[in-house]
Amino acid sequence: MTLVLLVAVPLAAGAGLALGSARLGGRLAGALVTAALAFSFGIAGALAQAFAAGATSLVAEGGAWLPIRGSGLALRAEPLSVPLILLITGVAALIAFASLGERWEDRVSGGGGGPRYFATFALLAFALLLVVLARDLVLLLAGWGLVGLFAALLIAHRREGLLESAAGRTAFVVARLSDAALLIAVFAFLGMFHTTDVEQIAARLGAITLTADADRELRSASLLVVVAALARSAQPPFQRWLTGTAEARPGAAALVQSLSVATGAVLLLRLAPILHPTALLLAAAAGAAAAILGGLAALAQHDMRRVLAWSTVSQVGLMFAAAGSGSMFLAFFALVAHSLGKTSLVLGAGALERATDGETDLRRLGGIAQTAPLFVPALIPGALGLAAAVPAGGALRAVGMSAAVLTGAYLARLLWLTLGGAPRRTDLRAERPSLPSTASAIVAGLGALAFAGLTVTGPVDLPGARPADLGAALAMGLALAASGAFATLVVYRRGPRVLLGDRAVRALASGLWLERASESSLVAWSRALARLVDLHGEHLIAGASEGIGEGAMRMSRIAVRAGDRYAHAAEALLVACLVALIWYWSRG
Amino acid sequence: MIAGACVVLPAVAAVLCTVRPLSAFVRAIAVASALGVSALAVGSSFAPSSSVQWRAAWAPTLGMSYAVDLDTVSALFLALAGVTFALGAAAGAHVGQRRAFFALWCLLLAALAGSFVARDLALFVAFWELTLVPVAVLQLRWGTHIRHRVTQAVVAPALVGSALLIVPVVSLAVARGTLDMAELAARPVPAGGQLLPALFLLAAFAMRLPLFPFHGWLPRMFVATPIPVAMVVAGGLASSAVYGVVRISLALFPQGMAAAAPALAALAATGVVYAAVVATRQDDFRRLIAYASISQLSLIAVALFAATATSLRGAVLATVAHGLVVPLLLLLAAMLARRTSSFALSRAGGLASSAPRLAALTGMAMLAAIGVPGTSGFAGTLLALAGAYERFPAAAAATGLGIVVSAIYGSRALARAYHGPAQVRGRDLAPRETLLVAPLLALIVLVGVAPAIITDRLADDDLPSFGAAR
Amino acid sequence: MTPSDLGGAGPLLLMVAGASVVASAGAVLRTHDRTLLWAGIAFALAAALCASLGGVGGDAFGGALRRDSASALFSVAISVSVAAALLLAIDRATLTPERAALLLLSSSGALAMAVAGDLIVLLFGLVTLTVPLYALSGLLVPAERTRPRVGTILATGMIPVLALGGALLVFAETGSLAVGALAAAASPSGRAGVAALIAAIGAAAVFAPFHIWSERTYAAAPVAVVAQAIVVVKLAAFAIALEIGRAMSAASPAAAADWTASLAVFAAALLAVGTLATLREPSLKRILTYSSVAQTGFVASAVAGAFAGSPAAALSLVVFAALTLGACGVLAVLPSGDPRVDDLSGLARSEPWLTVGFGTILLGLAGLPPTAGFIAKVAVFEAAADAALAWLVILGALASVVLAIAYLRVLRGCFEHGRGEGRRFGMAGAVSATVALGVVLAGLAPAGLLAIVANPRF
Repeated sequence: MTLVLLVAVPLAAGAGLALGSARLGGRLAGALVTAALAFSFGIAGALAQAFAAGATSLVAEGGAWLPIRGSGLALRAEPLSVPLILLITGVAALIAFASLGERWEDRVSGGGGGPRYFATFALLAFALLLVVLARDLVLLLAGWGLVGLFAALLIAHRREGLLESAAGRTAFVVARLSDAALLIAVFAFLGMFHTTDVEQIAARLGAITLTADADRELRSASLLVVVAALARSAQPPFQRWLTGTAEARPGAAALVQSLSVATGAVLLLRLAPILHPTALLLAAAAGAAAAILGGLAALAQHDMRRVLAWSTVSQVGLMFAAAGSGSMFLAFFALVAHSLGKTSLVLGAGALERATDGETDLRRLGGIAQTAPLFVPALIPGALGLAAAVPAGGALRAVGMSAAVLTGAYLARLLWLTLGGAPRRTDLRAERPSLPSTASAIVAGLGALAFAGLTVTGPVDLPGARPADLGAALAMGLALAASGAFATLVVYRRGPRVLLGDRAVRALASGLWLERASESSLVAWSRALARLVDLHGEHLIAGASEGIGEGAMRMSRIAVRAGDRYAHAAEALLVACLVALIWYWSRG
Repeated sequence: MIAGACVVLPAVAAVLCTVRPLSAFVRAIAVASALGVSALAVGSSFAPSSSVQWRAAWAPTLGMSYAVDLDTVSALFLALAGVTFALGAAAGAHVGQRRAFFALWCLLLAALAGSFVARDLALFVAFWELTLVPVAVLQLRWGTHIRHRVTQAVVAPALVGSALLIVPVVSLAVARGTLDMAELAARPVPAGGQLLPALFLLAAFAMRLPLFPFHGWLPRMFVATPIPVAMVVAGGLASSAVYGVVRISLALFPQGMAAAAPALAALAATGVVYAAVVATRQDDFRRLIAYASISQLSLIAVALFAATATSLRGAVLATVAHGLVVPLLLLLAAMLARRTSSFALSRAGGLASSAPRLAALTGMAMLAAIGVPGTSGFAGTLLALAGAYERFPAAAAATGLGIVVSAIYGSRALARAYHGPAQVRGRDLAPRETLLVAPLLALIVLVGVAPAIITDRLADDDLPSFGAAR
Repeated sequence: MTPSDLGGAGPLLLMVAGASVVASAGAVLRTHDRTLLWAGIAFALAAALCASLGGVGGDAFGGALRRDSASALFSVAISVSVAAALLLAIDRATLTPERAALLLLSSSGALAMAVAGDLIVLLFGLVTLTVPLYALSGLLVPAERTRPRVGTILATGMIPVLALGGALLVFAETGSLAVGALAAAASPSGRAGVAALIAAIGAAAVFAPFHIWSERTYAAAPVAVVAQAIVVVKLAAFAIALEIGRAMSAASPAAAADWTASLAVFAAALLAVGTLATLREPSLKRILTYSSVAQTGFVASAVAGAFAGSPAAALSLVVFAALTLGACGVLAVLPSGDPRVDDLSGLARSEPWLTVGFGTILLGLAGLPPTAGFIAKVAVFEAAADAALAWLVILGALASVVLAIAYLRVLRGCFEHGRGEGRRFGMAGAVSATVALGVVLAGLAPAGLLAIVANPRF
């Protein structure tokens, strides 16, 4: 029951707002959603207590949904899901609260902007919870699809319509790509194990030894799951949908970057027991590559939002690397720390953007610490928390170490170029940030730091085997980050771009040309195919059907004309027929 | 008797529509008779079967009889068709020559209902062919200026299909002496002789469904026909083709269908992607809807050809979803066109600012057409493909590409139609218009959230799945 | 002259009597043309009555005239068709007494063919059927100077010659003149004789008398004459063809197989030619004529099934006759003498009920439900399928599509925008309305019709 309530409250809030009146003010809707999410957070806390008290699994049955074996409207909480539901409800509530401070009086599209935003927000939280709690793959798939949809809607929300902005559309298309991959994977699992219940699949997989064929099948299915996760988590080459989101509201960006993008990692964590080792290896490799690439690209961006987006790519890459290499604990650690830290930074950056009237170019910001000192506490804890989210231990030592250096470097660059130095634009007069976003940013950032500290010291436990050298790994990571930050600051004191040439920076900024490749691979192929098919295929088909009819008509015309003009021939034919008939009968 | 009443009721309504003193009420008569058919169809599933079916002699020497009955699938499709007809009639407030229009409208419903209730192949063929007549006349009389060519393009393939449909029916009548479906199913044709009749039957169903590459008529018709007619063509006629495949092709020629299935499934899977890709390039909203509809119907065809227990259920569910979504989109397209006096998406830019409710509802309808979770499209697609994957993994996987492309055309259409710089202004949806749209949307969400209300009624032995035949 | 002789020859004699009365009264009395037409109708109906009451029983004149259910059915059908054809001419009195007399005379030939049990009667009937019709068309366009064409010669001269030659060859071998003895011919010459007879009847069914004639004849021919040429001639030809087919299928499997093969090829050719010729034709009269060739193809496919196919053939013939007469009725209502498809424009708006009736008749001709045309189509296809002629069924199905499109073109003409003008329905309209109603009723409840044609001899 508690489980149902946990999921139903955000759903009810979101659906109610979506159906309900657009006359409700933005702030009131926001308060409603914040309250609903906070309530869910409370329920999640109660659940966490139940698990701490020794419960191993909680199930809520809601009856059948589709006649597919193992599927139903059923939720199941496991020890693994506890930190996730706490994180989702908590962070979402925090961001919803922060969003209260945004401007809702600009009545977008007839005044429904605020309520619609918060409805989408609550529904995204609901979908995230569904992904975490779904007992079977079918419901998981539904949640997965909804996460993609609502994330896309949220990204596109600043514009008037549902999917107006190009970024929202790209996000939606990539989300559907991810959905399709997961859909096929689910079918494959269903075909192999005759059930969609994740636990049962794991049990059956453990009980049998795979034949070569079954092994191949499992590998393909697992690879599809990995592809779905990579696409959802904006890992290269799918990163375009995230790095192109330049227009989203800060709250939307925060929720998408902190939680929605990480859903891919959540999927891997949930399904790791039933995935093929090869696929996991691939996920780890892809994640490691993304972690480095994302860090490098973040270092080369000039746009504040893009720095954060590439940073997310990098951080989620680390989660993939951890989850793929079997370090569940580290993956969870990175996930929680990243979510809290990124929430703080994105909210802080959003507040900064609003305070500076929409300026996001790092080359033109600067000196904020002097003009609006409140931004220092709003940004610093988040950055620290984010830096702490890069553990350089376990199987990830090498990757984690490089990523930690890069993280320290781009975070230091971001902070220095915004807060530090002297104001670069004379007309830039930063206002005080709004209270809810500042407060939320501070809370989230401190939360990240506290989480890291408490995990190392012991009170907070995460699923998976706790690495023995956790403290050392974190310390190492922080030290490397600090060194990276120091190096960056040194470089920036001397003037930028001493290390790399212009072209190299541009190449890095475009994610080693991946941006364009990503764009063309996602959109251009369909455009070219559509052009080809529409120009030739339809003509061919229309022409063929038309041609048959025209042919009959033409034959008719020829027949009639020939009947008039070549009457003799027709009559000769007639006589021939006659002769043939008589011959046929008299042949004996 | 209830099954017979489903045909007689709209037929009587058709006659009533022609009576001059009633000309003020023709639309109400049409709506009422359509809703009545819906109610009868729904009610039939609660009535004892003896009160549903009805039998009488027709032409016994030719093996033909008046045998009508309703099963779960046909009752479901008929109820859906009734709703579509009612909404279409309600939306047809602006047609000229109302008496003739609504008389033909009711006649079309009667013919369609007949093809759903027929339990005799000859009766089925009769109603199947009869359906064409009102469609052709409605198209001829009330279509746009290009209606002549289009009517030919619509009617000719349909006629070819139904002509080929007669061939196996006649052969069965000669071989078995009866055309009663139950008796024919009890004495199946030997496996070796099933392929050809199955293909001949399929010719008719493929033309009407329509299956790629026989789909050319549908977009052309949507452009040239009144929107209410397009609605019932999408909502009613397509489902009758699905019904035909399930109840006739698969039930009578399971082995023949199984032999042809791989090639057919490949064709249908091609159709899913092809139509979706073509839809991304359409500027006319009706053509876009037509191609989206073809894409979905091809997906249903993949499931039909796979013919597993799950895929057939999924096909039925997806057909219901399609029958709800496409008429809804057409209704919204008509409302859009009334405001911009054009169906071109490129001319409707910026309408969202003056008609936000229309924009929002169109957005929801488009998402439902794409099949996002929580709508009927998702449940239907999922179930259909899950079943199809059991037999044709490659085809089912290929349709996954169609899902991606559907996101492209859907989002592109929405972005072009309602947003961007304002080119036109129009008033927002009137309450009456909202009232037309709301029931369909509600049904879409209801079926999407609780598909069990449909799937639970389809018992395993109720559908002629390939596994059962083996 | 026994009562059975009287029963067999009665309709024939009544028809001849009608012809003479109308002709002589027209020459002597100066009565109104319309009155004479009514008299002709009365004689035709009397012949129908006589055939239906006294048509079944022992053979008349020692087997020269059959009195079985088939002959009775076709006698009635022919007589009623003639009456209906004359009725079409009533409204505007388009038939002069001498033309009406010729019409009745040729109908007596048709009746003779329908009841012929012997080759002499068959020959008599064939000549009496065709020659008056040629005379009629000569009367219609007296000034026409077309060069004599082989087809014309074939149609006028060759039909009797072929029939006579065939009969002689058969008689030389079997020594019998009975139609039933045709199957006994086994030698090449005897079988060549059979083939010649079949060819003669087939030519009569298809070409007599208008098909390959000039457009001017058509433009001038009253609708009644068109109806006679299309309907009555085909009824007569198929009546005797069915009798021969019955004899063939009773004789030996080899003869039956030959019969089936010949008829199937014949049917296929008719279907192909008839449908293609109809598709682009603008003149409604010629559309009816050409499409009747295709309809003949359908009947022939049933006849190819020999004895087993005869009920289907009879059914499709009767339905085809009724529908064609109904369509002719609509043509008779139209003001133009040679109506074209374009002339129909505006009909749907000005005369909605006429359009509904015409549409129903066209649906019936196209073999679409809910008309008896659909039943006939199914019956014909079943007969062909029964004779293992699956290819013919497929061809027939496709031909029915082309034919349906051709009829749809006509219907489309009615829905064109155009000025509508008031039309007087009169008797022709009544014929059409009766037919439209009748084919729908017969389509919904065909039991009676099927019972009539389902008799073992039919």
